[in-house]
This record gives sequence, C-alpha cells and structure tokens, in this order.
Amino acid sequence: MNFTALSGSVLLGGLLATAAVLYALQRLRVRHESRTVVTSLFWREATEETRARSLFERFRHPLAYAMALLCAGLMLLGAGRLDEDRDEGLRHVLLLDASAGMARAVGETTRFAQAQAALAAELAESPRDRSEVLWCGEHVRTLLAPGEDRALLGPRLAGRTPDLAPGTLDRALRSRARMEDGEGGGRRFVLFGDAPVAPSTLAALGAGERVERAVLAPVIDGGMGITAMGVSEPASGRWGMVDLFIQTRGGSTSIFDLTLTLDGERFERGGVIGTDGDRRGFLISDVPAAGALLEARLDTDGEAADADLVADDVASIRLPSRPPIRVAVDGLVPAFGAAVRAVLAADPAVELVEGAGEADVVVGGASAGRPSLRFPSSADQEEAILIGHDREVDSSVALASAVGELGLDRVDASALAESLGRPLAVGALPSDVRRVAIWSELMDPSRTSFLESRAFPVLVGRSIRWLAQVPDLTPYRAIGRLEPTALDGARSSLAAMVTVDLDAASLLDPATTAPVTAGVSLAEPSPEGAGPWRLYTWVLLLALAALSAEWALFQRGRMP
Amino acid sequence: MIEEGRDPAGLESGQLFDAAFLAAAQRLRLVARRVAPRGRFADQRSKDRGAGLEFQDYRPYVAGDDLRAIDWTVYRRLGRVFLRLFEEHEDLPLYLLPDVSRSAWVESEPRAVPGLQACLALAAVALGQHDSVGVFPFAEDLTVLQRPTSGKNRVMELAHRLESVTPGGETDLGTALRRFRGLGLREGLVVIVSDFFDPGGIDAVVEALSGLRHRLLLVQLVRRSDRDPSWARGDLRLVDCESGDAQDVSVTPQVLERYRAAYDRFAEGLAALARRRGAGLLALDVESDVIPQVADLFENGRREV
Repeated sequence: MNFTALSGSVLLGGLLATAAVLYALQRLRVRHESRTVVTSLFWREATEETRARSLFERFRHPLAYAMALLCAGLMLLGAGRLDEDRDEGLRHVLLLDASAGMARAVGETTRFAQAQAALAAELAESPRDRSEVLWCGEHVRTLLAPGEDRALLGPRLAGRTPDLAPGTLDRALRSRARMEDGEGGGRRFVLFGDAPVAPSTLAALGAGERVERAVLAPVIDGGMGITAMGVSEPASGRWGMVDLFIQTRGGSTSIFDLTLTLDGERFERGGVIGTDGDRRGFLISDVPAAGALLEARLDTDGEAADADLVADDVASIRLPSRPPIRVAVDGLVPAFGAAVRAVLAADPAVELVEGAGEADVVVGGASAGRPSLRFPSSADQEEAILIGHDREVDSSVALASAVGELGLDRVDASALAESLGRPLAVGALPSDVRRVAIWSELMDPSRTSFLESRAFPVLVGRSIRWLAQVPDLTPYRAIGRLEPTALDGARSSLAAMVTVDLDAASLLDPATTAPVTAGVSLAEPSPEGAGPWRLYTWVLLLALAALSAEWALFQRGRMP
Repeated sequence: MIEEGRDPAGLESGQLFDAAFLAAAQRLRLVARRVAPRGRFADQRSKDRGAGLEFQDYRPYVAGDDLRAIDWTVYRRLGRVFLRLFEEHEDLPLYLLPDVSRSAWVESEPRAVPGLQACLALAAVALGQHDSVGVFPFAEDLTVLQRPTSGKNRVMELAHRLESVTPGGETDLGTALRRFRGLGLREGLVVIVSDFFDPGGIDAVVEALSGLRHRLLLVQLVRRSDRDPSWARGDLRLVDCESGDAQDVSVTPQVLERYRAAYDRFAEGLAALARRRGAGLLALDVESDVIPQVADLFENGRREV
C-alpha cells in the first residue's frame, strides 16, 4: 500500500501528532460554565464518584479518546489517499500533447481541455513520489517533477494553450526511453493527446516499460485546413512569374473557397485542381514574382471553413522576386557572336543593356568586376569550361553542382572532343566574382556543331542565371517534409519555418492538425483498481461511519 | 431559572395576595383532633373538660368541685356522687414557619412567594375559626414576625407583615427550630414551609424536627426542575446560592441519573419523616396556583391534624 497524496513519513507524523493533540485535549482542564443553583446538595452526591484528584483533569474518557483517535486516524488515512500499490516501484511519466492539433474544438470544449482533464484524473491516481508530467508542445518541458504537489499543476497549466507547432510527443517519449530508469522499478508512459508515436520509438523501450494512451472523447469531424503551400518555376516559362501550389485537407474545397491576396490586395486567378484522398491541390499559374506576401484563406460561404481549428485556415508565403537579368554583350567574335546574341535576345529573363556598368552579367568583353561569361582561346585556358565560383564553396562541390545547374550534363562532350581532336575538361576555381569561361574553339561553327545543339541555349541561359545568382524556388513546402537539398547540405523542415519565419509560410502539418491518431495503436490505461471504490474510498467511508457512530453515541449521552 | 448575579429582594405590596385569594382561603377549615389544654375558648375540641355542650365523661366528686356538675340521677341510682364532664372548645395555635433563606429568593420566580401565599392561606383559615396564628420566618435563624394572635380581622394585618419579609441567608433548620422550642409556646400546629434544602441533607432535617413536640405539617416547595434539571448540559460549575460552594460537574446521563436518585432519596426521607411523626406533607408546586394545592390538603374542606 502507499499514499498517493502524502508521503508515509508525513502521514505517520500526522497520526502521532493527532494522537498527542487528542491526548493533551483529554488532559486539559475543563472550562466550566458557571451556574448558580438553589442547592448543590444533590449534585455533590451525584459527582462524588467522578471527582478529579490531580492537578490536571485525570484521563477522563479513554473510550472517547479511542473513538476520536479512530475518526481522526481514518480521516488522515483518507486524506493521504491510502491505496494499494498495484505497481510496486513503477514510475509514471505522463505526457501531455500540446501540439497545434490539440486546439481543436470538441463540442463546447477543446481536445486540449479533454486531455488536461484526463491528465488530472490520472495524476490523482498516481503516487506522488513516482509521477512526473511533461509538456509536449513546441518544446518538451517538465510540468510537474516527481514529489511535487499535484496542486501545482493547475496553476502551471492555467491559461496555457497548445503551441502552434507539431507535436513532440514522439520525441519526448524517445528521449525518455533513452534515459535509463535509475530506480529500476519500471516505467509507465501515459500519453494524453492524439500525436502519433512511431513504432521505432516503442521498439526502443526497455523491458518493464510500457506506453498507454489515455482515452479521450472521439472527434467526429475531421475538419478542414491548408496543409501545404509553395511556389515553383512557371510552367509557362515566363520570367517574373511563379506557379503557386496550395494543398488543403478535408471537406470538398473548391477554388472558390480560397481567397488569395497579394500584399493585402485581392488576387483572383483560376487554378487547376488535383485530388488525393481527402486532400486537394490547387495550382495557380503565373503569379507575379515581385516579392509580395501572398496570403491564402480558406472560406466557405463567408464563414471559417474549419471553425474548430482556425490556425490552419490561413497560410501565407513571401513570393520570390524575379526582376529581369541585365546583360551587357561586348567583344564577341563574329563567328558565334550573332548566335549568342540571338539566344540572349530570346531569353525572357534577359534584358540587354549597353555598357557593363549597368549590367548584372557581362558577356564577352571586359567584366569590370562583374560576373561574366567569356569565351577565351584554348591557348589561354587549360579546361574547356572553367567555372569561377564563390570562395566559401569547395571547388569539387561547386563543380558537381554546376554540372546540373549549368546544364553541362546535356552537352555531348565526346562528340565535341572528337571534333576538336583533343579531350575536354571542366574545372572550377575560387573567384571573387562568379564567372564562366568557355573555349572559343567550341563555339566556332567551322570546327564543332555546338552552336547547333540543343545544349547551347541551355548552357548560355543557365550560365546567365547562375552568374546572376538567381535563387532557386522551393517547389513545395509542408511540415513534415524536408526541403530540397541545398548546396551547403543544410536540411530543414517547414516545422521550424512555421515558428521562425512566419512570412515564409504558416502551414501546419496534416499529421499535426488531423484528429486521427497516427502511429501504432497503444494500450489504454489499465482499468484495474480504477473507479470510485478504491481503498481510500473505503477508508473514508469507514471514517464517515465512525463519525456517525460517535455522533449517535453523543446524542444518546453515551459520550461526553 | 436562576438569574446570575440576581440580588434577592423582598416582596412588593400586593404581590402576595388579593381579595379572591383570601376568599378562596377562607373556605377551607382546619380541624384539630384535640387541641392542647389551657387554651383560649375557640372552635377546636380540647382535652380540657369544661362548659361545653357535648358530654364527654363522668368522674367521682372531690371536694371543691362545682356542685352544678353533679349528676343527681346517678346519685339516686348508685348512691354515689359523680360529676358530668363536658368537652371544652378551645383554640388551636397555628405556628407558621416560612423558609426565607436565600434559596427561596434567587430564582427568577422566587419560591418564597408561593410559600408565603400558602402561609397566608393557612393563617386566614385559622384566624377565620378563632384560632391563634404566629409567624416565625427562618433562614440561618428564626425571627418572630407575628406572635400568636387571633381574630378574623387580623388577616390583612398578617398579610402586610408577610409582605415585609426580607430574604435571609443560609438555611439552618436545626438552629431555627431550637430557637422556636425556646419560645415555650403552647402546643399547637407547626407548619414549616420550605424547600428543606438544608446543607446537611435530609439527616439534618430529621434531626432538627426530632425534638419538636408540636403537631406538624410540612409544606415542601418544589419545582419540576428540582428533579429534572433539563438545563444541565456539558461541563458546569454549579455554585450553591447559599453557601457559595462550587461544584464542577460534567453532565452526563449517568450523572443525571445519580442526581435524580439523590433527589428521590431526599424526597423519600422527607415523606418517611412525615409518616413517622404522623405529620402532613404537602409538596407544593411553586409553578402552579397555590390555593388549589392547599385545598387538596383539606379533604371536604376540612383538614384534621
């Protein structure tokens, strides 16, 4: 047996103190009410047998003392919540899911409030010394440490709402599972919320450890929300435009349910709809890429589409800025100059300017410290194509990346080498400004057919973009999915972006906002011993019976 | 109910009696079986032989006897001289001893009032039949409020005297009766009106009455709460109103039971005393009307003592 509300020593001390106080009360001199009587003759006779003979009143009513001690002791045991210790030494770790999805309204309450109530009920049944409560919101925090008074939990949770972030339940469980159980009595993890738990996490649990999920009221309505949003290169190929992609979940959303604004101005444009289960994707073409903030709001008949969780009804994204690339062309040899000019003129991203001073990229002539695309002779340059990259990037990495970025993989190098009668090499060097140098011999139509190949305009166009350092578009952003690999190898998920950079996107993970619990099914808390008829309930009833008996004895005059 | 800190005061004028009370009292009649000799001529039959109308006995003539009392018919038949003796009617001295100790006055409705009313009723009866009445209030000692006197017109005077009674101190029946015996009064009827709560208990009462050669009527002033103190609950310090002695009591049903037993022993002792002495005993409920209770004492309007 143990005490879930008081420690054993406190309870034993309380019992001894109660016994001592009651004993002292029994010994205390009685404060008599003074009354004048006609005669004390008969009272003297009546009390002759019970006269006190010591300084203090003698211990007058041992049976009454025993009865009072029994009542007080039983009440103290009840207050200490004496209970059978069904799990000797077992430690209870209660994890409260505080992810965004827990803000979902369920009737007149919220999922989070349900979880809190279930947590409080479970905590009341758990031994105080071996129970702790963890907050699993954006970060994992300890709400109640072992041994702390459970009354502290209410104030610590007061006014708290779920974090606008995906759940960390699985992470917290995994972290706790890695920590060794110091006392060796086993651990019981109880989850309060809907966040999923990965099978691998459960597999990492040690022997004697088990995970249970508290039963909350089921959620009937799955709700609706924007779950993903992003931009991509326009399918039309128009420079200065992007294609916008929005994904929604739940309901039968149409394009008319989406309200788009650009920097606050209404933006109306039709889109292509694709469906995947309960998810719908909207592709809106040729949205001006001028650095504006695009906001998408999900509406149905003017009302919030997902009244139970408004956090996922709005998403916004900062559109990229795509101004024309100003290119200055100078000093090209006539043999291929016209072809290069024709390619540049046909490129919608390029705006030809006069003079290198106004240009973003210089083609042919003196670069004047600007990124340049030059065509030196093979006598001046050992590699057929030489890339001057940023100094902070390793040359080998830059070279590997350039193969795709510049479209070098499309160049038929073997045919060109055969035409020139010498091997072709691609090299990379650190440089203060970016530059691309291509043998002029490769461009000579009398020696190779490179100008006539499809790789030529691709190489020129991509080189101009690479030199102008046009940023890549992140084609798709959604929480729970990794962004495309960047050159520096950094990988970040949108989960961080949601909270760090709301301008970038404010999307919520479908798994976060979805009420359906993902992951493996977990055991529910054992009903053994639960319910109102616990041991301390019987103790309290016994105390009540003792008090009633004492009252009855008092009323019948059998007890002072 | 005793009012704490109440200082006993005497009676106010008119508090003791009214005309209706006196009229009711005079319908009663006190009859003595035989009054003591050498009394004043009155309505009571006396042990004295005298000039009454009712024949009582014969006795031989001795020198000096009144020749008018000789029964000559007997003389003719027997040749001897006998005198005819007739019953003499004399008065019955009534000695009223009301208890005016502090215990009779401290309650919110003092039991001294019905006690004195009972005295006045008995006095009115006695005076109405030409008996003499003396009043001797007592507490720790006896005082003479009214020496024995007679006459129907003395009722009002006696009532005024009774109203002048003032509260006394502690009850000491032994001392009071010794002082009464010392007055050397002719044998008569002594009426003691008291609660008999002598500090010495019933034994002291018995001892005090043992030397009294008068006929006796005991009027015990009782109150219902004397036996059943329903006010008593919890831990009490009971202060005797006369002696000032304090008694700490934790009132429990057992204690109450013992209290009632003690009271019953006292009441039974008083009744046994009355039986032994051939005395009358009236338990006068001080919370009820006095006259009906006194009337119960007089069967068919008469009380033989």
